[in-house]
Amino acid sequence: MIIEHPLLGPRDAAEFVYLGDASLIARPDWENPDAGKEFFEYLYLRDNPEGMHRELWYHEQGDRSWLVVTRNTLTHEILNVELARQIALAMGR
Amino acid sequence: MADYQLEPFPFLWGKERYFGDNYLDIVSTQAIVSIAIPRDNEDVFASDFTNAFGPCPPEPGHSVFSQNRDFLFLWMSPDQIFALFERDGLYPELTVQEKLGNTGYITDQTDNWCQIRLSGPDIFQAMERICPLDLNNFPVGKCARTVMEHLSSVLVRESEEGFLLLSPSSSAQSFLEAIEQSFFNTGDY
Repeated sequence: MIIEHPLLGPRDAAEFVYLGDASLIARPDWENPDAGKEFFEYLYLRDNPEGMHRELWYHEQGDRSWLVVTRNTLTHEILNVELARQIALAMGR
Repeated sequence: MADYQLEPFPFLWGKERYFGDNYLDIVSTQAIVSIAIPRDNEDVFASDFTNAFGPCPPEPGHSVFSQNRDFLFLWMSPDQIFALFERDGLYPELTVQEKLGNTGYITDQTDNWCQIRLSGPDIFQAMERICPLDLNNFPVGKCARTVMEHLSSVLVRESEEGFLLLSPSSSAQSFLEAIEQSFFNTGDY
């Protein structure tokens, strides 16, 4: 599988480590009144979609960037790759 | 108590050799200094870098020489650059700091890497077996961090028939053997 890195172009998936659902970027605020419930959902509840899935990949054997990869779980087709850092900044994190 | 002074020693000393017309050289006098770019200070860093060395900081996936060509800078990650230059003392980080000032976080990385320079007409054949990058689309000046034979490595295309390779010093001998074996697998040496 080839991942089109936003900065470096096509790179072999063997250079990357998979982490999981990209929703992990949205870590709850521990000071929220419902922090306990939110952290339970954040840590343990995951969607398991058949089709498009946004997920975090780490370019460990490369530039050490975190990427958000949009992948079709049925075909492994990759439709979009973004820098997680930019997504997190856009979310105000 | 004796006042000992440590001096750097190349990890692969004496291992340089020819494979036909191709030469594997052990680079032993080149310092590697890491420059980390402070977050939210990228513009100031870029300005200071240009004032100190001439060009702009390297673009992603590329290297750039200083104006006097005495420093080679490698883009390593969005917030890190490596500076390579002839070592002139025990504290190469001071050489960079004297020029750049305190804009970036500077550390000496020389002892963490082995450096191998490959040159010759058949180096692509040897490297293609162990390198996952598309070397046909890797022009002079490009650099990349990748993995070769499960070992972390950095490639710099120095010339039409020349690469500089970096790999962690802790596995330097294994990295050298991987390259040597790849030459044996692709040619009659």
